[in-house]
Amino acid sequence: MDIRFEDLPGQGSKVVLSGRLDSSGAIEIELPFNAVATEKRAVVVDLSGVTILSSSGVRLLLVGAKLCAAKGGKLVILCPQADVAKVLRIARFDALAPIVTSESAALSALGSDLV
Amino acid sequence: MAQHAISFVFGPFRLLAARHELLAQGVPVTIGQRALDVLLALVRRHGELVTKDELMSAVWPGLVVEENNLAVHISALRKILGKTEDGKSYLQTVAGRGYRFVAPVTQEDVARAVVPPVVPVEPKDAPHNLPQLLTRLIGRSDELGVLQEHLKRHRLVTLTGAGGVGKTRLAIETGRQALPAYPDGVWFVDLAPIRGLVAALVAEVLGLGHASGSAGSLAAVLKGQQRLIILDNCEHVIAESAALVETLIRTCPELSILATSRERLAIAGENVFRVPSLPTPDATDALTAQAAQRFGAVEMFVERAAALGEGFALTNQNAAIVAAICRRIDGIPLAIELAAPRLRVLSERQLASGLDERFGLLTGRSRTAVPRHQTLQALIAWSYELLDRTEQQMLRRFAVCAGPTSLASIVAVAEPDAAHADVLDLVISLVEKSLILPDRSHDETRYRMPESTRYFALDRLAAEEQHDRHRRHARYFAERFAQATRAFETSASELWLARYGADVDNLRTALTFAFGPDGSRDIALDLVGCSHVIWSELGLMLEHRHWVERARACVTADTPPLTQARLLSWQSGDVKDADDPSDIDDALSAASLYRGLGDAFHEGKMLMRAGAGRLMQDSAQTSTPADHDSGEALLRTARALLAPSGDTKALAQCVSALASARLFADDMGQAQALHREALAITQRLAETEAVAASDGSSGLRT
Repeated sequence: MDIRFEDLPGQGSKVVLSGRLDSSGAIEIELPFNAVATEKRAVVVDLSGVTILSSSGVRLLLVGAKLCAAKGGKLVILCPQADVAKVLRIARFDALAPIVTSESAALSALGSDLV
Repeated sequence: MAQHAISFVFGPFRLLAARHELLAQGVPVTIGQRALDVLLALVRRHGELVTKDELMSAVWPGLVVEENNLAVHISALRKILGKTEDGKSYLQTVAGRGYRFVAPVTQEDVARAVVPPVVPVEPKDAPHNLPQLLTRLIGRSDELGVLQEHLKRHRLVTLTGAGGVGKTRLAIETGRQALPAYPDGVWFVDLAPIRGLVAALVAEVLGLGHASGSAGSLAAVLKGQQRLIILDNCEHVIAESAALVETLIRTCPELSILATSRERLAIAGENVFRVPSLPTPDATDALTAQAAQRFGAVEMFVERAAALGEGFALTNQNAAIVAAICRRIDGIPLAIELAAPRLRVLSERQLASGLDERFGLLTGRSRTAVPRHQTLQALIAWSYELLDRTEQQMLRRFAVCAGPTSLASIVAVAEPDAAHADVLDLVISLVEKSLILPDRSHDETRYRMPESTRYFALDRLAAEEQHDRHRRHARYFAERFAQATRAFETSASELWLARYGADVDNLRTALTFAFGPDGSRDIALDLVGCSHVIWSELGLMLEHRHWVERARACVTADTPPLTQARLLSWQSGDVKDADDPSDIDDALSAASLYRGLGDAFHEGKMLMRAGAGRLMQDSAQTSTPADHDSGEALLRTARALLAPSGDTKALAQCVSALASARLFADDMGQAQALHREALAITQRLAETEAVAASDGSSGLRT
């Protein structure tokens, strides 16, 4: 499980995850991921490189979304693969965070006050 | 097809790609399916580096798999293959990247005769979950063409016909051919194992968990989608299926439904297609072998008979007799499956006259009076009567099981006092007669019964024994899932699922019996309390929730505390949202019950769930709650309770959650130390599991 960070304009950060976000993958990235979600108000999570998402992974993303929301910010999911998108739907995650398919859509979902 | 007729030779080994078989000096080697898949992926590209990702996506396409599963199978392969003649390894590890098959490999084309033909190439246009047919579909090209046309013109097509006529296989292949027409995919939903919850099952198979599982909410989600849904075996739940289909067709203009059912759904707009038997030659035809083989029924009979390995071949001499056999059994595919194995002990002519006698008795010589479903019944009955008493008893008792069932489960349900080897002999004998089918799509071979045969066998099981067997079945699966729940703590998800996932149909059957009028509330509650993990791992949230709610409604003051605690022991986020206050309350109640029982590990696990949920609440709020009931305090207590049981998934999750708690308290130093500790636990679990998998021991020691 790999985690990488890129700066976004303004106060935002893009988190690029790749590999298998299952229970051991979630443990590998839980701390660095939560650290960004605590610090930043606008977070785009690029899931295009994530091949597998289990319920532990969903909980990780859920905490991230809540951490951002607590500061009046927002978390956006970018480009999940088909199987990963299905898991997010099963967990009703799409009701909590926008799921978009392009970086520009991600920035507009975050809104002008965040980026 | 060419790639299916290839074998790879290396050292004393021959790997038959199509048959999925590894031979050592000509003798089949015992090897797990997954390990074989890994080997095949490596050997196909021998000499090249195959990355871990490539191997995992080849072996577990689209599955949730922990990475260390691969290491387990590589280690199993090294054991099986040993060293080459000059003392070298067959497999080379490329550190951090993958593996390479380094021994010399020669590739040979195998004559088609030894390799059964495999299903056609699959178009990749749209997503789907269509099962792979294990044998090719014979004699159905006309029907497939007609059904494509029907689907273009009608949004609801129902395949009807007697049991055994091949509705399911035809529906699957029709769905596969129709893939390009449905950009949102073709989805196959088997209704055979359920007795209710049709909409919930459809929502789950389609991955639409946020639909509540009612027909209306499902329709709202599917509106505007170009999907084909195949509802298989609707006759079990005909009223509920019809109501759901009616709502979906009315509300979703882009959706199509292909149903299979012994009877029509009887709703507006339904286009009924009665699946015919396979064509058979007329009695008057003077037949050559070549001419006979053009008829689907003969083609299928010949393929099955040749597969017996008794030297059967269709000739100009026996063509007319074979044609007569196929006519006698009306060209019904399941009947052909049952009749062909008789050639082991009978000649073609004896089989034909045996059938004549059989059906003569049925009809008083007036052959035309036999309805199709009676033909199949008569053939099953004949097969049954030819069994010896112990085989008959096994068939009747096995009928209580549903879906693919392992040999150990068959022993426990049908013949608990018999030796495994004796039961295996009985099972093999029934497989040879096509009364039960082997299912090799799992790590161990499982067995299941065609539905028509199952009804017949259940009918022969006296009411009283039926009740006893169902009870024994339900009790056994409650115990099996209790054991599975313990094993889960130290197993990688994928290995666990390979062992227990296929038991879900037996679980459904057991729950239906246990909650039913003749059932047992005690067994029902045990079943629900021990099956949280399987629903969770299979992603079946709606069914999980349904059974938990039903069970909780049955709890009384007399319910034992352990049962009550287990009912509440789902994993965080499964039955309710992780930070739902009532979920945290449920976890705390369970923890307190476990404390009363002196079970520190499970008390810790439930406190961890409560702690993680509370932490999620804490992190989203500006005010800090009182320290004694904060998320972090709960997690610390949980950790102290979990640690004495050694390395477990629960402990790793707990330590990782504690790292986040320190992060939220701005203590990055401690947070990082805890994070490293959690990683070390997962690493050790992966390593010990590789060992446990090879000697068969696993599970939590409590």
